[in-house]
Amino acid sequence: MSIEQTEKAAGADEIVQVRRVGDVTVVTMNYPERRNAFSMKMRLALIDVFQRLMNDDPDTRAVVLTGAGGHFCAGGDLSEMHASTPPLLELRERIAVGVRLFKLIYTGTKPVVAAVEGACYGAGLSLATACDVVISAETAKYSCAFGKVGLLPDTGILWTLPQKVGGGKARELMLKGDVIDATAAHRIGLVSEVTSSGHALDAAIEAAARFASYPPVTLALLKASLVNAGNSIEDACRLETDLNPLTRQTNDHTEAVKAFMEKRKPVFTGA
Amino acid sequence: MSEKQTVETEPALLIEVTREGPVAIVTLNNPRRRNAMGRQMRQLLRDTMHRLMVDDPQSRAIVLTGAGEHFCAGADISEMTKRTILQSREILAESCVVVREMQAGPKPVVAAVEGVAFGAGLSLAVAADYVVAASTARFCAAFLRVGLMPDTGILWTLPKRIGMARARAMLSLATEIDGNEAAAIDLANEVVEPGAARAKAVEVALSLAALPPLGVALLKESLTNAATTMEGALRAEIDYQPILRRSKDHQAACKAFMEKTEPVFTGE
Amino acid sequence: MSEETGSDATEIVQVQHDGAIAIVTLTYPQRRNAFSLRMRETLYAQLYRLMHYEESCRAIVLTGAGNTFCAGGDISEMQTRKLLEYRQRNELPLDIFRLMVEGPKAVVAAVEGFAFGAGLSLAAACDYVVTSSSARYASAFVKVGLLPDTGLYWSLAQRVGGGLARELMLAAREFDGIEAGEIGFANKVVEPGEALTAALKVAQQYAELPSAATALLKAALATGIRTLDDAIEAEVNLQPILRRSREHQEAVSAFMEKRKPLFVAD
Repeated sequence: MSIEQTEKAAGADEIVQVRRVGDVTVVTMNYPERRNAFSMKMRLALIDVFQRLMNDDPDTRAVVLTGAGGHFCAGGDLSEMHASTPPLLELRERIAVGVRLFKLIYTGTKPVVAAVEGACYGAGLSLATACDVVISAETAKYSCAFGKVGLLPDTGILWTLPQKVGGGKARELMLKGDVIDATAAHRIGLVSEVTSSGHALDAAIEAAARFASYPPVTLALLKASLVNAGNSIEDACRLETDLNPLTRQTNDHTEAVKAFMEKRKPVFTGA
Repeated sequence: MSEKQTVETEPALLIEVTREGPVAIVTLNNPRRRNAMGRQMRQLLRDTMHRLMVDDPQSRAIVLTGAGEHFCAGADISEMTKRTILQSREILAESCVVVREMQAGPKPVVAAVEGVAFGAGLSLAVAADYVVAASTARFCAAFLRVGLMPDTGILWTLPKRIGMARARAMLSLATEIDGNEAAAIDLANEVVEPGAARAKAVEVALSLAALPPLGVALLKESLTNAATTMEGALRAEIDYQPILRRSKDHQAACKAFMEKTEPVFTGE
Repeated sequence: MSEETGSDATEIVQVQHDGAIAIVTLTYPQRRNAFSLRMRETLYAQLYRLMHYEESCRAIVLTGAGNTFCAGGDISEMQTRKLLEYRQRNELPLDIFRLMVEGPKAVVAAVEGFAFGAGLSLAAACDYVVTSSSARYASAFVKVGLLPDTGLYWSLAQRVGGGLARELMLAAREFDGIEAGEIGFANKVVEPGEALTAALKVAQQYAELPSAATALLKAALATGIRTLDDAIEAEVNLQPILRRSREHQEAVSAFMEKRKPLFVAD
């Protein structure tokens, strides 16, 4: 991380805060007075951060996404939406911004772990659901209430929520917009782990740190393949045949085999 | 309580439609045969569902249920005479239209299941957006037992609800489960006391009928058609969300939120 | 109970017949049934024979010797090879995977002990998974710098959903038999030591159902059914064949005559 970036990370007034914990970078949505509402400013700041972390920061091996002030993100900024309704083409651009952020998280090169406390509503749920692993405090609450304000669930959640909880359950959550608790979220597969209140971030950093012990190239290729690999047997077989040989040729794989035979811990270099 | 308005003029009303406010209740009506469905009944159901979806401004949500003690025992086996391949293809394609309407049509559908939901009866139940099951309801993909494969869209709709591993077992072994088990594996969204399914289904349908209709319509269309790949899902939101942001109902919702009042949705 | 039909005690994949059920046992206990080249070659040959030639076999049980299922690829075989050789060596595991998923007969997994890496892939490719509560599963590939293989991209997502499959593959997280039941990976969870017995019961159910309908259902599900259109296409194409099958017509007659059907394949 460069000097100016370190200074930026230390800034408490940044709408998105970034700090490094070992090989893990913690990204904190920081707009606590509006429960980290998903304003346009927040979206653009997150894109900046994720763009850099995914593509330009070899020291970050995994990312944790969380929210300041005891909440994850309470969703879109309704007052912003009430204040102005831009023309159709501009709206398309604005939605595309959210899609760009979604793609950075979901198809990026590094695993992302969500640490959820408090409210995880609307686009906040979309963000959490886009992450590879969701760790929840037992007091966190989830809802997908876009429909109640006449909107479509967005920021990739039309894809990611059915992927996590199944099509039937996703349809129910999106239609009814009910609030569910962490236990229910865990039962349906939205959340992988439930911690006591206030401890989601620690558990998330721990989970993220485990990724750091795997070869980074393999993780990146795996995330890339997972976008389409489950679509059909053809797709799965083709990806396997094309990509697996590449990983067998990496130094990290050779090192892993060597370490196994010599009964020691492997040391990965990312090559 | 409910006004009974018969929509067809034929004497044998195999499909009945009644109303409760903005909810249209569609009742499979062949109780002496546990609502087993022959071709005529399937065609009538298809036409009724289509009309309610696209040509019925009175309704904003639909309940599907069965007359008497059962939901639907499946296809009428006595009608399974020898047919040519082409005849069978036509009949099958015909039965699937109603599933498309239920899944992708603009209005939410709530199934109320008492008694048996076997074979195509199960297919219909799981094609709904929301399933209310009596604890004593019985679900079984009985197709394999009569040497047929599961049909009426169930190869898609059942795994969506319970996952492919459980669906594969239920479909390939024709195992039977009750309402409680159905709720435990999310085949049913909700389980109720025997006899209470219809009332609960209407209650759920009324709450869904209060949602902005355009958002519901585009959500259902997206989940069924567009969002079957990641790129498709992303394209759907870029295409549809701007329309919704500019809709009267969305703006009414924002205004109501700011002013802390109750919004009224017109569907525009 | 079991009848050994020409099975060689030194065979790395043993096949026994129990009525209409074939029990396929991965037998390399000194390496926890590692998925070596010889194992793959033998498994493919045996499965191909059972699926396509052995008429008396109506269902298959897949299990492992020595109280373990399969601990994954044989790491000692993982030497440096040329790119094209890797591509070629990947064909056999995929052929096995496709045979299990697309073949006409149901395969029931009986899992005790470890199902890691390719062991997980094999279990996931089965139609029905019976697991011991203490079995241990992991998509361990990424730990040794490899990507999941033997069809796991498809089969794991099919069983537990894309979201959880993603997490399990990325994190290489271990889960036990009890969790396997909870997440829907396993269909049935039993006490340690009971998996084979329970799997045989399930296989017997498959064996008694009409064979044509079983085969065509498997074929339909193998196409992936990603959309409602896929489902409708599959049934419109395949159901009419079944409507004209002997087994179906027997079932209809039995129903009308209020008796049990006697299924005889066409």
